[in-house]
Amino acid sequence: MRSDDEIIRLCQQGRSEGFALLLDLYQNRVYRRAYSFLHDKEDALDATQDVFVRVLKAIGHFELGNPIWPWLRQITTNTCLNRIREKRSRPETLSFDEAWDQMDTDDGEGNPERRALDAWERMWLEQALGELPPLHRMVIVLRHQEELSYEEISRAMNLPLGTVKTYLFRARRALREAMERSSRTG
Amino acid sequence: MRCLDDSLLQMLVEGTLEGPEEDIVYAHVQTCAACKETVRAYKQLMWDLEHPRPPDVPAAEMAELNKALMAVWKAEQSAQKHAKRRSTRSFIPSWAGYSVQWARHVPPVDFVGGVITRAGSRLLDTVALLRRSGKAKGGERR
Repeated sequence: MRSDDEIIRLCQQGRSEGFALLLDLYQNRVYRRAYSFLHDKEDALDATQDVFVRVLKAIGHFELGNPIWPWLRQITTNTCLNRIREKRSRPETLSFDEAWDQMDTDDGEGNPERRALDAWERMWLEQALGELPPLHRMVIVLRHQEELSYEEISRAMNLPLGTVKTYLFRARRALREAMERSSRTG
Repeated sequence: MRCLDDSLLQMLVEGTLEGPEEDIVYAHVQTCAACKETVRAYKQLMWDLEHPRPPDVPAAEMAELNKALMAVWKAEQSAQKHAKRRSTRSFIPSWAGYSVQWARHVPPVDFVGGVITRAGSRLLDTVALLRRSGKAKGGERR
């Protein structure tokens, strides 16, 4: 596998194989991160496209020796933030059918009852994450999936540290309440 | 017993409390059933959040996107090359401009040059003729 530096060098030389490698390695990862932030397939695809268009315009200025993913994650975060801000007036909708479909197509290991239980647990979590305000969801993803510190989240989202903490505590409280509701009804 | 603030319990679970604050919260949780239950719930929630089911990647759409992005890359590269070529040729238009400007003066100069050349050669012919005829006359005198 090529190193980040080699990929960047090839891209900076204008060679298509460099950009193809970059896409092979990071396209799905960027999509998954964008999907975690936006919770919408079409939005995540559009965001992924925007991220790589920004990348191919800026890659000439990327400094060799730095890992690519933090840079891509920051561009993904900014791109998704912009999309969220643009769509702020539109209420967030939950794709319950999509979560249900995912449950149907889940072919994970274990017995069928366990799979159904896992799917149910994932479904309530997906549903609850989808119901969070988008900025709260972004803070949750950056904290628990990207494992960034409060300060790093504050820098990445250009928000005051206190606001980051407030969003995080409120979001986790809302998720805990959703989890308790789901265990009562499930 | 009064329950602790929810954010303190969250911080206890994620390990961001330090020193005496952590000790006080921990001691309270040991004795308060409600807070203990909340802590248990947060532990479960944070584990779930840290082990997410990765979203399905729509393979067909991603393949299309990959193709489209490669096309954008090629277009961008070709635009950059074109821009470079234009910038290296940037002095040529000025040179060409001068040449065109000078070219406007070429026909009159050429015409004048032609007149001078023709007049000069006629003059030379005449001088040569006079010389020849002078020599011939001198020969007859001798």
